[in-house]
Amino acid sequence: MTMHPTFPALDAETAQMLRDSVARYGERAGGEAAGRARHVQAAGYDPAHLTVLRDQGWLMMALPEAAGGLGLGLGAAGIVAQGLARAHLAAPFTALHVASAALGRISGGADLLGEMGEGAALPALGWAGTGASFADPTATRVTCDTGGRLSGAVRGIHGAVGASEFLIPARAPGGLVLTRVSADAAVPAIARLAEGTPVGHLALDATPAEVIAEGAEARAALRVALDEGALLAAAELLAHVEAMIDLARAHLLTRQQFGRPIGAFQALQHRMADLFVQQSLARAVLAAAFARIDALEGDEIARGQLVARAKARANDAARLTAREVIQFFGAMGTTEEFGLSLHVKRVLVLAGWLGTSAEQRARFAALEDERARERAEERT
Amino acid sequence: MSEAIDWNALPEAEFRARIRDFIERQCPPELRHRARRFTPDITMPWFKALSQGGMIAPGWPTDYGGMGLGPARHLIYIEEMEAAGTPWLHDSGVRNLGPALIAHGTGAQKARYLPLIASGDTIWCQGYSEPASGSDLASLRCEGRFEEGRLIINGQKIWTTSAHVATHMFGLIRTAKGGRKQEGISFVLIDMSLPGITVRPIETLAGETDFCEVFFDEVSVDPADILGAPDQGWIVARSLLGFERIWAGSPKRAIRALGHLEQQIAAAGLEADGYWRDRLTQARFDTLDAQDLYTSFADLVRTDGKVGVEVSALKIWSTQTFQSIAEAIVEAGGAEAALLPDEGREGALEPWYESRAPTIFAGTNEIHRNILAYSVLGLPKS
Repeated sequence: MTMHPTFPALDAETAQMLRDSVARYGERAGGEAAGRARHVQAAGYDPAHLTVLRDQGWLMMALPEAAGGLGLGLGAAGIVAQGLARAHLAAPFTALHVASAALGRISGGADLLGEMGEGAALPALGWAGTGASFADPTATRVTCDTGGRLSGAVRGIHGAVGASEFLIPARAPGGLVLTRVSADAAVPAIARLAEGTPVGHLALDATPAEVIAEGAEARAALRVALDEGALLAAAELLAHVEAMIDLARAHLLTRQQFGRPIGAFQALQHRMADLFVQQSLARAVLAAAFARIDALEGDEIARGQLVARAKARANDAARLTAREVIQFFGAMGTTEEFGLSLHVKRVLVLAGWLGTSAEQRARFAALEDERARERAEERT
Repeated sequence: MSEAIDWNALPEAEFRARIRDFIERQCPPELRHRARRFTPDITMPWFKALSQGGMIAPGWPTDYGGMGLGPARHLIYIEEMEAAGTPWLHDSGVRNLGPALIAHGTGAQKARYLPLIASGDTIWCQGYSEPASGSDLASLRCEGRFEEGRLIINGQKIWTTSAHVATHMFGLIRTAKGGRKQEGISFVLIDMSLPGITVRPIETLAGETDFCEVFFDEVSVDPADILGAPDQGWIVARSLLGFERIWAGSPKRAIRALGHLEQQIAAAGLEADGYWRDRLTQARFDTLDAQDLYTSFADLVRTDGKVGVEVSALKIWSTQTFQSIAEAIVEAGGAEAALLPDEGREGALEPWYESRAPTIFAGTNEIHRNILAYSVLGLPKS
């Protein structure tokens, strides 16, 4: 398969400018209040937030220019996801990226992508695989009949509330199809994740849909979209690791017990050092993954393995950091009112979304088998 | 001898190719990709070939017979040697003593010792640790007293790698007391054939005898063999740690053990077993992640010519990953893992034994956690 050098690498200066502008927005609009607002929002997303994401160009910057994006590569979206997450403003950035990444890879996606860019459409990818097939949209249980009607259930759709339409992978008589369903025809039941973000459950019963891609094109587009989404979720996780470690460090320096700062106790120092090791690993692994993923557009196995490993590391680093930092803060760490809770709960959500570590390891091993089969076929 | 190659000026690809080519031509295949360390009589022909090819001392300036490589090129050199599986050499003189001699030696010391080090005509061991001075190295007590124009040494060193085959030692000797413990230490070059030196090899868990106890009983040394100012040896010893600290955290041992684990799982017929698939994948993740972390520090060496104290994170992770993989190898082997292997074969316990020392040498992992806590995270001294 040929690889198209569609994505120019993001140079260091542009990356820093992007980091700075996301951080400025985070300081202005984000923080603990924004995190708490996740729980109280009745439905949908803050229109002002969506406007900023769009007007800054952040929503579409990673898409190829041919698909109406800025062609800055996934690394640019990673910087945005990380910066927004630090300020509790990440949702629905990653979910919207997943939808646009799928649309950008299919020939029938241009119209909807154009509407998205203008703010006229907010599509959500109706796919939430779990278990062994979490990254394999061909395992969808939604069926599409010959009249283009969908039946089946899809649970836990990120970005569903406030979505204008759903992109739903379904099994048609001829194989996999990617369909577009209007939110008027499919109204999601709202559920909430641990940190307050709403997700939607869809119950489809001969719901009218439009097929926008089929077969290999649909499958490839969905896999790219899910891989990119998982890597952005990993970038969000890294932001929470960094934020929690910063909180812990400040606490260890100021909290006094037995007449000295608790950070002077070696038991805590070594545990903090181990968190630093995990943060360093997650940073290095994500940097390497973002640097390589665009060039792997045509190599599903290598890309999938790269993402599986990065998401697993981010999951593990974040879950360990959450547990340890709660312990460092003692009773205060167990409270909802202390700001650490916002990071902890978001970590619990993100570490499950788009692949737990166990799911990622299973996927990596399955891809390893796929590679071995490919090689065996090449030899015969 | 290949004359006056400007190694730094060669295009990177050609630089790599030249090193690869040299290894292919000169390094005997039976010495490559082996876990065990060979004795110097076996590796010396390869040492001499490197020496005669002008490639034994990558980091030394060309004026002293080195390749004069900058840090980035030096790292490539090491990577190529590792990738080709070249054997561990008794080259502590080249790696550790040489740079200290060049930085702190007198003209006479450099003229005398550097050629002997580079040619392989001397083999050097590092006499630092003592029974009561490990992580707290500066508390060392092996004593030297000045008497009638000589330095008389009494005391003991321990965990001295290769002392039983070394011709010389560079050691830290307590030459003055009182004051800070880092003061009053001298960096001394000692001929191991001097009367009064006794070496006792210590057998390791793996059955190897690579490190030793060294006893000094009224050993008389010429004070001209003190490197740097007398009583100021701590400064000389510290100067040995440059960007090469990154190497203590190389994931190479974990990578090798990973290959062993794959074989062990296959040999036990566990490839399709869900638990072992998952555990093997975790081992792969841990190792590949270590590789990414190594690369991120190597990139710093390339751009900045040095690495910061954060590199302790790499040492901790790589060595701990090596241990967790070694643990998996033993477990996958079941009861048979404890069988002694046939002569010349690597048993399942070997990686387990070998993975003990890396969390202890080059600063124990606990010392590296202290470094991260104090110097990176800024936590107060405990």
